[in-house]
Amino acid sequence: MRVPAKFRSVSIVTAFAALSCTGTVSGDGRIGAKPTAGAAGAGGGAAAAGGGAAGAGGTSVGTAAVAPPPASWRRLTASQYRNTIDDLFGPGLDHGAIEATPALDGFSTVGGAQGAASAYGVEQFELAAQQVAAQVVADAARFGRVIACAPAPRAFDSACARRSLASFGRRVFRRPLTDAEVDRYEGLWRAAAAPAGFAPGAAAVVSALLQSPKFLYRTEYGQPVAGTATRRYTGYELASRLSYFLWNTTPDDALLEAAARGALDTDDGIRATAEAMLISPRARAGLDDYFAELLRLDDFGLADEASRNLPPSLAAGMRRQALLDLDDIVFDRDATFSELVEGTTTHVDAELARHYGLPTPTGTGFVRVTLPQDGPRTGFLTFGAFLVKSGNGLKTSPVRRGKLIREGLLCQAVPPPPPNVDASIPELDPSAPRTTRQRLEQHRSQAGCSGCHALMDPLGLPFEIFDASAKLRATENGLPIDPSGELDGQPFATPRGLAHLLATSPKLDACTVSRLYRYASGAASDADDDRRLAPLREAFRASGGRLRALILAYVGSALFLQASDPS
Amino acid sequence: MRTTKLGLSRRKMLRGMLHGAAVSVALPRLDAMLNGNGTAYAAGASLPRRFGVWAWANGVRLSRWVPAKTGAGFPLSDELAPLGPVRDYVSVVSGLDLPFGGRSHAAGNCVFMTGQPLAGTNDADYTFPSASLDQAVAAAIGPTTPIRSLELGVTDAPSEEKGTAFHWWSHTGPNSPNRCNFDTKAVFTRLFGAGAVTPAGPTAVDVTQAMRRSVLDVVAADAADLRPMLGARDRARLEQHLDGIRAIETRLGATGAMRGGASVSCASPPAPPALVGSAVDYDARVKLINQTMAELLALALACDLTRVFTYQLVQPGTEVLIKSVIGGAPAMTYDAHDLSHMPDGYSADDPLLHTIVVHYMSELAVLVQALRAMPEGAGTLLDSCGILAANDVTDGPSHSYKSFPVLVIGRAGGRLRSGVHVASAGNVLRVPLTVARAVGHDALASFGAREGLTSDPLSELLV
Repeated sequence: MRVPAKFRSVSIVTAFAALSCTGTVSGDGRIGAKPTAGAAGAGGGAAAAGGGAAGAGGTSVGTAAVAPPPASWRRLTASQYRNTIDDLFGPGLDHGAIEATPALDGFSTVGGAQGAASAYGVEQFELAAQQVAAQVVADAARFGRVIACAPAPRAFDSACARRSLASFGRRVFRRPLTDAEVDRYEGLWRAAAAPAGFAPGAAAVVSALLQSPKFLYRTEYGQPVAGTATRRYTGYELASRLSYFLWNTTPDDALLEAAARGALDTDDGIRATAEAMLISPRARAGLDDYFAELLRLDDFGLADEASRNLPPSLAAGMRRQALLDLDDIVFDRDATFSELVEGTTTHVDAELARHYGLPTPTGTGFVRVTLPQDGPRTGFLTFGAFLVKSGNGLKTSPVRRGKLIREGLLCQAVPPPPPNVDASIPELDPSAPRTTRQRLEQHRSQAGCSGCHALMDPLGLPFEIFDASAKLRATENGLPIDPSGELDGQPFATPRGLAHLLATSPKLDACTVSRLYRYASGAASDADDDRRLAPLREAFRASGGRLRALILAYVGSALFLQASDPS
Repeated sequence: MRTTKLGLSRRKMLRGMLHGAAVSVALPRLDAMLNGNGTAYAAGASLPRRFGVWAWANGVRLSRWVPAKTGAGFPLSDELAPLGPVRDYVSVVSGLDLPFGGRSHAAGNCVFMTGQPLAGTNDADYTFPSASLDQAVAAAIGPTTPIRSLELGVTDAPSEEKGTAFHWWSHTGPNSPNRCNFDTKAVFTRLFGAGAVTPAGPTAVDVTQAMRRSVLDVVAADAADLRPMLGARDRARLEQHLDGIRAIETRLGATGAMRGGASVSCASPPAPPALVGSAVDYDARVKLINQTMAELLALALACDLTRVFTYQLVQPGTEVLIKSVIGGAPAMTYDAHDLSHMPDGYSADDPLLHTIVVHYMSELAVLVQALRAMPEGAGTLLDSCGILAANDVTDGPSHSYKSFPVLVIGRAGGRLRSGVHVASAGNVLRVPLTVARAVGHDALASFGAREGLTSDPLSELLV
């Protein structure tokens, strides 16, 4: 279905290649053909054509003359806001309630870069700023981070106010303040101090800084490069880009100093800085949001899980397991990222091990364990964060599992059901036991459904060997479970087989590149993305599929360092 | 007496979560300020009219939804039966289609609220192409109220990460949703707590109103620096953000003089209990939150803190598990969305599919009754309201948008005919157009785009 031309300029074209249910992948990564009612189950080869934003990796595509993504003005995500407040004033203060940032293309960073705060969201920023400011001036240690000097008693100490604004203001705006800005904030400070005193006056200044669009939004517009149509980000902008990407928070003094002395003005300098930042323990916490959104964990294992009918500690453990596994792959071992789906180890505690039927680990808490080589479990798709999250804890959802694999791992969007097609299944004898596969076979015999379901069901049904709580089961309704399936014409016998096909698929690598770029850039995808990302796909492949290498290749590339004019 | 896990008896709950405030509240709008008939202010200004959107999800069973007869005094259908106590205020519109067809549940709320198809290409990025109708109505009928529009929700059920259209009925622009607030305590604080501007004037806060204004002046000056630097698209986003700043300034400047006088009830009504995150299952919680939200909304409208609201009982395509409605295992393995799609083993006339709709309508009746319980002038708050009740699809199994089910509730200050069943054909967007104009957005010449475009109100709904 096409987006009408009048909306195309504002609509967000996705990161996904849209699958068509008739056996082709749209080449431009934009808008797929609508699902075709009555298409015979022609799923085989549906995604084989490559193409699209997630096209086959390693394809030799010309990279010349692909413009970098447009300059951006990005709202801090809710977690970036909270992390930043902690860094500015020290941890442990009450941040106040902040509006959640909508996830767009699965990432709140993209939502923050494309939308604006609601009126209520702005109200919340105002109240939060007042609350934070009041806590800061009431606490000598926190207040010490704001003022750079001991103010003279009695009369308003203009010099001290200006020195403080220069140093603290730079932390807040992530760049030095202009003289006009120092004047403006000093004026506010002076006015607020007149009735109340220097410190309460500072509360007004802190409150204003934290509400300024120069703080809440990252203005990354760069400077035009003479003789070209592109812009290059300034050192301070790059400090922010690196910091929010890798640490999910505001640049620290050292990074701002590096920007000030020009250390971020060269590609080598950027790369060295990024390497150091990735080694820092802050990177683990910094990429937590990315990993959680990449795996589509939502609030699984965090919030009220009553509706998933699982003990909260178990759901929380499944979430932790998935994130520990990714930390292990990326940070501890710098291993091939595809171990996410085909791995030989995982992290469990005693409760999880019992649940999964794995040997009880020695030691307390979560420990890394080696999985049985011929067992049913390998990688993310065979554990709770995927198996439980995709259902409701009581029933499995093979269709949703298949859809998540297409969308989350292969960056292929499965079209929704066509309108006005009756998707109900004619009732068979309800007393005769059937497996989910048998029921879905019937579903797939429906003309309006078969095309798209052929893309999802063969990927999801093999996981029926796991029940809705991710436990292994031998039978369903007393009947044996067929764990086989096929991925775009390639048959496999078990979920392990699917994991292997996925782990060795260039489409998984291409999708990994595309997702990382989408999260880091916040950019809306466009038709140039496939060509834009070709060098990164090559670098990723050359590194043996290591995420750290991909990150370093990205931050050293024009995609990270340069911008086109804003739209 | 049976008590809930919160230790509240059901009787007490129904009597009013605000400790009886909603029923015992003195007239927020003092009679002395009204004319002899109680229909307008003594000075001649009319009583405010209010616009609302109330949303449920996952469709209806049309065969059990559409009343058997049209016109006034129509017999309520099975699924509308819970609205019996307020039937005089409820009109039913049937037979009109939602244009553009559907691509997903999110198409229903997007098209109904913008008159345009979804923007975006898939579940992960579907959003509204523009601001929603409620925002235009708010600008027209409530530009000076302390809160431009109030968005309230009852159940924030877990769902997949999806584009904003999958979650929210109100937007200020693409990817800029007005999220519903699900937390009764937070809603109360926003309306009446520290920092709120009530009809009696600003409530006490540590930061003086003058200082808040000075701070916002500096914020606005910073924004003015940015404005010429930004590209057109980012500048539009900055203006959206500044709308929020201007709304705060409006609140700070509000004196209460126009707002019904210094009613004690409006200045400091009793606070509701905190309900979000409490260890109560969905069934008990939804009843508590819905009752409390409904009473908070009634107070907010009566005190003229806002004239426009969106009230989402559930999110589009909600996957909530309604245990007491759906019953125990094995049926419990299906959530509300699954059931609406008539899963294997259920026939079209299965009572369960229908029971969920009845449940939604009984929760709607709670809201309507809360508005009717609030006296205003010669009548009640409900007389001044024009509320659209709608959902995201016509029915689940087909994802159809034909004969899109819509209710119109309230009398919009005497402009809407209530208690009628209008059966017609054509474009259902005529209904939002009708109600938006009835509540006072007279300048709204048309609504919708292309095949959705209409400039033709549904005269059967008008007095």
